[in-house]
Amino acid sequence: MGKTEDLEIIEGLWRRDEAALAALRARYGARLRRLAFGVLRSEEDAEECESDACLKAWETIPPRRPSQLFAYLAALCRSSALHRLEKQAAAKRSAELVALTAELEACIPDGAAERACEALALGSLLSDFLRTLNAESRRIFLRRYFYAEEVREIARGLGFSEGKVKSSLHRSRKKLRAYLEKEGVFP
Amino acid sequence: MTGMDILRGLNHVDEGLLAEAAREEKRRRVSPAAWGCLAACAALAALLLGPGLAQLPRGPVKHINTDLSVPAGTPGASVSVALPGGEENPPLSILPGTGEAGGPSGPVTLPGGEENPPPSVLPETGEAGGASVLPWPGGEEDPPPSVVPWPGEGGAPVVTVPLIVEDYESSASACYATPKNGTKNLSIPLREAMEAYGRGAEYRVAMQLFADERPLDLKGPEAAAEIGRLRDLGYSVTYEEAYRDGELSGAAVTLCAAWEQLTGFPVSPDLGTMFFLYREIFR
Repeated sequence: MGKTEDLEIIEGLWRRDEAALAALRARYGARLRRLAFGVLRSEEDAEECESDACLKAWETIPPRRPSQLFAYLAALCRSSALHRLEKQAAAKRSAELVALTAELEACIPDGAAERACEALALGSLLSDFLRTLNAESRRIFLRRYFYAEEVREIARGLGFSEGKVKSSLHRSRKKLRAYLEKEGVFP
Repeated sequence: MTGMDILRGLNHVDEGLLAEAAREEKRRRVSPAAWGCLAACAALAALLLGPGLAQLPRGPVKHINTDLSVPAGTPGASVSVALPGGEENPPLSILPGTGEAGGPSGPVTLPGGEENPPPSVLPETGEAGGASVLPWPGGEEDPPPSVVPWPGEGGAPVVTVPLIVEDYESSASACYATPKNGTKNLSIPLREAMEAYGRGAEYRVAMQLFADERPLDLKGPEAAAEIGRLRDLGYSVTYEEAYRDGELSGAAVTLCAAWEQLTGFPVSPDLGTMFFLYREIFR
C-alpha cells in the first residue's frame, strides 16, 4: 500500500473528488493531529490544524503534485500549528502591549512576502545542513523539531534509548549553530 | 533570528528528507504469539528432521535462541522465519550440523542483538528423533505455517511463518461510531498496524458484532450463524472470553487474518462488524 494509495489520493484531489479528501483524512488525520498536538498541546487545536491542513491540501492540489504526500501535509499542518502558537503567545501578552504593537505594526509595510522568502532561504540552508548529518541523527532531529515528537516517543519509535536521542539532538544542535555561523546567518 | 524562525524554516526543508524521517519504523513489537510461532516453527523443523534424527546417536533439538543447536547429520534441512522489518528482524535459519553425513556445522546465531527474544525451550525430542509439536498460538483454529519446497536439491522444505501482529501502540484515542448493518470499521491501532506492517504480517483481531447498531450477544444464535458463515468462507474464527478476578473482562469473536482478508472482509448485510487488534480487547 503506501505509495500507491498516496498516488490514488493525489489523483482524486486532482479530479476534485471529495472522496479523496475523506481518504486523505482517514489515512493521515491521526498523524497530523499528533503532530499538531506536539506543538500546541491541545486536542481541540490539533483537530483544527488537521482540518486546516486538509483544506489547504484541497486548495493547493492541484496545481501541486507533492512527491511525498505526508511530508507535504505535515508541513501544512505544522505551519498552521505554528501560526496558532504565535497567536496564542500574542494573546498571552498584556492587552495594552498587544494594542500598542498592533498600532505600530500597521505602520510597517506588509512583510509577509519577505518573511516567506527568508523562511524559504532558511529552509534550503537547513536542508543542506541536514544532509551533512548521518541518516540516524537527521531522522532524530526532524522527528523532534519538525514532527514535534517527544524524546520518549522518538526513542521508542526508533528503538534507541532516550539518552541516545538526547545526546544526538544535542550534537546536532551544536552542529547547526556552527553551520549557521559559518553561513553567516548568525552575526 | 529566533528559534521560531528556525522552526518555520524547517517547513521548507526538502520533502524527501521529511519523508525519510517520517517513515514508520516502529520497533516491531513481536507478540508472544509470534514467539510462539517461532517455537512452533522450530518444533516443526524438528519433525521434518525427524527421519534424519532417528538414524543419529546424539543431539536432540533443545533450544531455539541465539545459540541454536541442531543435531548433526541431516543435510539440506532449513527453517526460515520470515519477519518483516529488514535488519531488525532477520530471518532465522537452522542449518544442519555435521555428522556422519557431513555438511556445515556449529551453532547458528540469530542476529538482531538486543532484539532477540528470551529463550524458548522446546520439549526434548526422544532418542529416536521424534519431536513434540508445541500448540499453535491462538488454538487449533489458527492457520498452520505454509510449507514451500526447499530450493535446490530435493530435500527438506523451507517453512515460512508470517509475523502475527496482535498489538500496536497508538497515541491516538478515539470513540468509534457503531458500524451500521453491512459495514465494517477498523480501530485506529489496527489501521496503524496495517499501515506499518502491510501485507508482511497477519493480524490477530477481535471482532465485535452489531445488529441494527446494537451489540450482538456473541453467544447467541445470530453470532453463531455469523461464525459459521465466516468459517465456510475460510476464515478461522472462534469465540473467546477472558476473565479477571472471576469476572468477564473481555469477549469477542477472534481470528487471524491476512491484510487482504481484512480489507476485503465479506461483511454480513445484516450485521455491523467492528475490528480491534486482539490486545485491545484481551489485555
